Amino acid sequence: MKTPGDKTIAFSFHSHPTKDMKMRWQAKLTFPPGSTAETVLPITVVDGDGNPVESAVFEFAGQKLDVRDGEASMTYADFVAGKHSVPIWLHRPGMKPVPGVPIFA
Amino acid sequence: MDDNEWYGLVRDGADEGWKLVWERVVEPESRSMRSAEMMERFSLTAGDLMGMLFDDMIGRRKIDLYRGEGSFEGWLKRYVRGYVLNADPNKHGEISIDHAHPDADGEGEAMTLPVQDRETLRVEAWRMTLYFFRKLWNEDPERCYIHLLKTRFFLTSEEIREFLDVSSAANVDQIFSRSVKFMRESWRKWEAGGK
Repeated sequence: MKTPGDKTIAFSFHSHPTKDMKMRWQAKLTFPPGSTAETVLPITVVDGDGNPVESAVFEFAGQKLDVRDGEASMTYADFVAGKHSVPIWLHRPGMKPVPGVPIFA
Repeated sequence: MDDNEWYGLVRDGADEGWKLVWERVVEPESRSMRSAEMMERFSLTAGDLMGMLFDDMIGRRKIDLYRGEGSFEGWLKRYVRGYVLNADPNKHGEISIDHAHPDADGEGEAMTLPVQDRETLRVEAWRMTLYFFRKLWNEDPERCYIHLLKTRFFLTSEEIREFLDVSSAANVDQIFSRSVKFMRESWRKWEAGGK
């Protein structure tokens, strides 16, 4: 389990299309070059205006990850363990959970 | 005879003016390499073109649109060329020649209005790609990861095997092949249902 040593890989996700800007969000999971099972992968989460989400729980790859000031993380091993997990949600306090989808880009 | 005089005769429906239209516009255009072959294909005669031109100019008063900019002959030829192009049964849109610039080179293609908005089609194709990708995700996210790693990050099958801890590179290829097939079939189903 490792990523190429010369490339940074990133997967992006965003909220299901919604007209309400307040409900929108976008997340980016980054694999630094040469990541191995123990590598901690940074995740950035921003709202519809591009501002970091202050506080939330990002549900992804079977994990519930704490988001603080737009940042969350998970280990590479956890990502691979949850590679078949479909649900993606962002739970923000005082707001309805918003499902997400991967971005084909 | 200058353009103004010729224009006046044509506007008034005078035989002398229309005889010149035949000799200098319709007949030469119908013999031109760019129109002759199409006319034959679309069963169009020079007489048909003359009739259509007369109907437009006199019957619908299109003659009043001529502003004296550029040659009168060139302006009339654009109409004639438009009739030839418009006779194409495969062309579902209309050809507007009312605003064609009289000084243009006489290339009829420049007058063709697009019958489909390419930008709209492009956006639609992208939107549907995202939709099918989401469907692929719901089938199995691993397929999406492999799809992205292959098509966006250009990783080899061996690199992807290591990346996602897949049993073998052959398995990666198989999963990728399935994901491509899934996307293609989704497109096919959508197009079949959309048309």
